[in-house]
Amino acid sequence: MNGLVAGSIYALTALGLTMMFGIMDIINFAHGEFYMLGAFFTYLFCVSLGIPYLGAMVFAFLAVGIIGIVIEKLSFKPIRKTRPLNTLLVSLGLSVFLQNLSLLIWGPDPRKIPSPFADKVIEFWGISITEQRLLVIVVTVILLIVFYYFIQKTTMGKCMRATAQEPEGAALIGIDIDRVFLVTFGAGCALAGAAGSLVGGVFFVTPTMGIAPVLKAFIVVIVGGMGSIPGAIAGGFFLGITEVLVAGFVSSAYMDAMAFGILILVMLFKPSGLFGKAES
Amino acid sequence: MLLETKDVVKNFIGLTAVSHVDMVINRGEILSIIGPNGAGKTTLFNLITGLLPCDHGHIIFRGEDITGLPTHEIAARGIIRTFQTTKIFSHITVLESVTIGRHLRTKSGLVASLFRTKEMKREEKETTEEAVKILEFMNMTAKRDFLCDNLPYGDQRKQGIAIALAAEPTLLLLDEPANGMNPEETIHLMTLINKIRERGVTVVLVEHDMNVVMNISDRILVLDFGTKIAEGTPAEIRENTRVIDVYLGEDLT
Amino acid sequence: MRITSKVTRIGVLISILAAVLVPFVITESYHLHLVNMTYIYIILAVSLNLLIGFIGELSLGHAAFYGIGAYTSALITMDLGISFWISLFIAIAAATLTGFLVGYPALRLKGPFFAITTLAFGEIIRLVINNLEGLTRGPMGLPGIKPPNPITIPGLFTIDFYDRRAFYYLILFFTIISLGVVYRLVFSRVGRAFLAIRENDILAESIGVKTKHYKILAFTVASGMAGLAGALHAHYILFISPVTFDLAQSINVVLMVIIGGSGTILGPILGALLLTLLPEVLRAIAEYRMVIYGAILVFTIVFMPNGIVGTIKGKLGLLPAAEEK
Repeated sequence: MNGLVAGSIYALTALGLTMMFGIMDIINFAHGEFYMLGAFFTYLFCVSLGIPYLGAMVFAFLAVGIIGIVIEKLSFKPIRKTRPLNTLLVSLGLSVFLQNLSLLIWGPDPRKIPSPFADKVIEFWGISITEQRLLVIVVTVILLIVFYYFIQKTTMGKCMRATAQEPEGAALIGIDIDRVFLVTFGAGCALAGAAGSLVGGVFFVTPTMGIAPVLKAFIVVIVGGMGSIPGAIAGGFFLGITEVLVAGFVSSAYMDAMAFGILILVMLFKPSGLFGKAES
Repeated sequence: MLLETKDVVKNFIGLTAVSHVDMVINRGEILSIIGPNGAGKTTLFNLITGLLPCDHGHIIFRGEDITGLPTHEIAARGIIRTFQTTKIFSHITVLESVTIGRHLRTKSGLVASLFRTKEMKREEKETTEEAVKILEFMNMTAKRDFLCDNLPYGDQRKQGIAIALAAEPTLLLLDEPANGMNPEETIHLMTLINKIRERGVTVVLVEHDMNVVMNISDRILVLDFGTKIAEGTPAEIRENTRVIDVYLGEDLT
Repeated sequence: MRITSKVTRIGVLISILAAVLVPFVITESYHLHLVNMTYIYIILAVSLNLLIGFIGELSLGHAAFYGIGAYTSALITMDLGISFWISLFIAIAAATLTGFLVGYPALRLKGPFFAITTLAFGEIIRLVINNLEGLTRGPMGLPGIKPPNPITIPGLFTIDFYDRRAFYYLILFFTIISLGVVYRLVFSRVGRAFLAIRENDILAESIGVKTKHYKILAFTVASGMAGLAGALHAHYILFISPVTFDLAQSINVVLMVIIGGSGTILGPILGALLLTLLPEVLRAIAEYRMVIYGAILVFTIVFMPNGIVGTIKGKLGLLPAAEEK
């Protein structure tokens, strides 16, 4: 069960990453920081502004999305035509900047988001789980469904898919690439933010909380296939469940090393992942 | 016969780009490959130069089977190409990039470079001299210190050819060299191609500009949907009904 | 206007002369220490630049080789009693060999994939060092490393490397050698091959450049040089711990290269200088340091992608052999 919880988080985070790669060809090292911002904003809205947890999450989701849009416009758009190395470096710089800014503003001490679901436990089918963790799964599923609807049925979603397949063709038939990129980036960040908000209710909120999940999300995206949405989602759940299962047997330090090892192996032998689009 | 492709096939998902093509390139000739867009012409170049692997078939160059060799090995054997989407070395000068083109014909490695041996210094001097000569041949001496980025489009295409020539090819593959050139530039291009042939280089062009094709080719090969549909002299091709059909009344003269 | 090699040669001679005189001018021990550290960072930055500026690939694991050099030399001298003057070369060899072993498979990848792989590798090395406590004492670090064995010129004098000034000349010597290696590599057929790969690797391959070969060469040389820096560090600071060789350090060196100007030789030197001295100047606002670094990186790429030296060179209309737009 816990595996599903972890899996949900990974799936949400990986989804944003894979979208950004599939549509914009961007590898966003700062993705973990948007995750972290989602958690912090939820905390702020909840604690400082007194907005109830669920509402705070929604606002945080939107806030992170908006920040994502602004950052795309200011930092990524200007360098879009230059070498890909620059995009990497910018996202690296953003990661460092956001992490340390949060450290400065909020300090390193972990906080917990007070959630009304935190302590209630539900039991069914012989499994007991806190309501909060169940919430994580439920919200994730809802978001995934909404996302599916969005990407398959709405015009913007179709534009995004077209751009992912054929960036130059899409521009030629009149799709506003700038807007597509804005939305993609904003949505990807917002999804990461949602993941962070959910985690903040279960565990803690710290400025460096984004680092580990995003590395794991990278692993998921690369193994599941860069740019493949089903790959990211399936991979996320797979990793979550596997991790929880394996954690019983292996010490956690080496588990991280193992995860990295898997990453390297997959990259060497099948860089386009199991489902993904190959690098152009 | 310089190069021969035997029954080469290249498949992509849902599309056969090159389908069982047998062709021959003769030493010292100028051969043009024509065909509608998507006919597989550039793919054929990619197969010959090893940028794409053949799904089937063989490529024989000077009696050696070069199928499956890495691109730099194929280049080392004397097959050099230019690209349809202008590929040049952007942020360096014209002279410097032609100097890079000399890479194959020079050999100083790590040790020689680190210790600045006499060999290396002599080679450096020769390299620059050769590069200068190439620029003279291409009539680009005036622009030698320009950044490649700053060249007008037509000159960038010429730059691509200059770099290729620096590698002293036996077989030069030009991918749509006349693309984007105005009539005057096109005439210069045709003169250039003839000059290149006079130096002993076999030239194969992929080209859409029928004026160029008809005027300079010794032979023409026509591809459509990845298949060879005709082969012959310009006169023969002009009369070939299948070719005319394929081009649907385009002016072939 | 082109900088003639004559001007360069004079500039270099003047710099070396000035460098030799430094310990007589900078007498304050702590300031000399800063200069020493700057030189170590110069070696790191200039070697990383072979990858970022000349091959065009981003490595986020450079600090791992720094660490391999440091730990190899430290452990060999401490546990095996071997002299620094030998362990130094063993350390460089270890870093170079590891560089080759990592580079060979990793350089099949490009761009972000390569960057992530180097990041993963760097982390693996750090984790290994951290956890092999029996060997490396893990997170507690290795204290008590001895400085290089004294050099005795019989009948004349002995150079004792506990003296910061003696060490200064040692580090200066190796820095000059490193810069010389990079310079000669860059301005040669090998360097041109690097450039070709950076600018357009498909075109490079098409004119016969063995791209894989040169990428691995660059990576291996860069790793070896990082190992050199590591060994020097270990026998200078006399204490090392895994924390010095982590991702943050790799990013630190990346910053030096980018801010100074990738693709030039002066750039990383300037970057190393700035990023070694800046934390001192910013001591009062030390907590803001990383925030500022992050912001600087973003700003530099967006507004000044050629770094300081690159942008100045562009403005002066100098046509360098290697310049980004």
